[in-house]
Amino acid sequence: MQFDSLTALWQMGGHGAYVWSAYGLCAITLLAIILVPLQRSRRIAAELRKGEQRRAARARAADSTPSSLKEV
Amino acid sequence: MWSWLRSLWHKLGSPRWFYQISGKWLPWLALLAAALLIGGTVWGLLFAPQDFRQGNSFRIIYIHVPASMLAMAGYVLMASAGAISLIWRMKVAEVAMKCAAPIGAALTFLALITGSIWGKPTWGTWWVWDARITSVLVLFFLYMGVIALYEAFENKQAAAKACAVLSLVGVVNVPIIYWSVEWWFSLHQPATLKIMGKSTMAPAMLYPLMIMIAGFYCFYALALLLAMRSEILQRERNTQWVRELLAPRAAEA
Amino acid sequence: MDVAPPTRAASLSPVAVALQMIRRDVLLALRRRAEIANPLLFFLMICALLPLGIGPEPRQLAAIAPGMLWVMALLSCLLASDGLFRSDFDDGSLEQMLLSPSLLYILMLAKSIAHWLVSGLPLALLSPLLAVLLQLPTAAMPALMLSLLLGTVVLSLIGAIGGALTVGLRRGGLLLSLIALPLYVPVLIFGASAVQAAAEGYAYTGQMAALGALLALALPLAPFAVASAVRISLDN
Repeated sequence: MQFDSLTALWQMGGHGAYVWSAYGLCAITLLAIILVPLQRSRRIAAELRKGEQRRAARARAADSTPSSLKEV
Repeated sequence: MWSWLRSLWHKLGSPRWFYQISGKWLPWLALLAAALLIGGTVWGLLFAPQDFRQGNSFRIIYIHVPASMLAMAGYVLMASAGAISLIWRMKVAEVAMKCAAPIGAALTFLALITGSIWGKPTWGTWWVWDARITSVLVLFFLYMGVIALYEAFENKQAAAKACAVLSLVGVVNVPIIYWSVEWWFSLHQPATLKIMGKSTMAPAMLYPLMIMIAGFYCFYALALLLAMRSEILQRERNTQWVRELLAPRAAEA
Repeated sequence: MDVAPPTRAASLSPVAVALQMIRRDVLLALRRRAEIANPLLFFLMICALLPLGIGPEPRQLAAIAPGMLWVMALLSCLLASDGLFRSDFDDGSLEQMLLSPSLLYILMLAKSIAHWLVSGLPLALLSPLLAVLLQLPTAAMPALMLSLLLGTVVLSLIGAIGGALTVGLRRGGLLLSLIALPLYVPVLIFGASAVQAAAEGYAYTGQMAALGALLALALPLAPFAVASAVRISLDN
């Protein structure tokens, strides 16, 4: 280990601000690159499920309507 | 062997097959990427020796160099996917090209920012027009051009074809731009202002760098697959297989 | 418009078709003199903006004149490229060209050359006058004109690619700039360097050779990209 203590690790010999901001930005960017498509896929799935629920509800409503009231 | 390759090629034409097979690869890829990135970061931040001249700010190399390498490689991948989509009209290749653009642009931007942050303690300014950073900046412009062109077309099929042409023109230009910028820089800055000299790096510094580069490659593949899967779901959301997958028919009462 | 694009029988050789296309485009441009004059006026005006921005001190102007003249010539070429396909697209001649029996490659090459004849060439010939405005040493004038003569052809070819990709789009002009500017970088580097070297009294044959190489690469290859781009834009 190159550093004696956690404070030494944080300070990085005076360059701590640079190193940690660079690594922090990197972490944020990489996470964003992964999370954005995951979020999008989830949104598409949710939309499809909602549409399917509506379709199923309509089918059930149509089934429960007595045949005399069904549209010809 | 050839028949297997040919059947693979045919299968690649189907977005559905791609979605299924990528789903199997995804967990392993994620595991590998995480292991390499976390391992490389820990090694580079905690165990690698600091540079004699630059001190600890040298550790930024472990994210700056892989990001710039992937930025370049990503452009070549985007152009290749574009070429395949143009020549063989393969949908999966078109999706790959479209998804590669924002990922590559983000990595290019990351390379620029980390390069700038690294430059401040090393040379005292936030920006130095050295050959590599200038080439990466031009690469960023090339990426933004492709993204802007895609967004400008309403017909997305025409958009994909136009971007394929543009990325092919760009990929031919990337080496030319790189060499001309190198030449320009050597003309104006005789003193070597290189971040990494031609001299070899100590193994203790090189190994974590190589691990990070490998980790970034795995990460790129992971990100691209995730983006392609999302794009395929979007494009094929009205087809049977997507509906079955995401919104299976509710059991009839 | 009474000058139809060359769509006659394939019995015409490619060279004849190309020459006919060039003649047509140049004639059209000459009739719309504003199309030729505007980029040149733009070049003149932005050269006048520079001293207004940084002050009239002659040594300061002379120091940056080589690079600035090249940047401004480049921007003027960019401006001119926007109009390359627009009028043909608007009145349907571009579709006519697509349908003609002649190779689209030949037609696009000819169009790019014709465009250079009415934009880049006058720019290059006029550049010494503007160089005087910016206090460029006289030793550098031949280098300026020569580098611009070669470089603006490449710029016209690159601009044609961008123009073809964006011709059907709204706000295509701005997008054209985004696309073309990164591709302009090598031409700018060698062109400006040639003028700079000449201003300092050094030889500039290396830079001119590089410009020649870029031209040798762009001239046969760019029309392929232009032709594909035109097809895509018309299919849109």
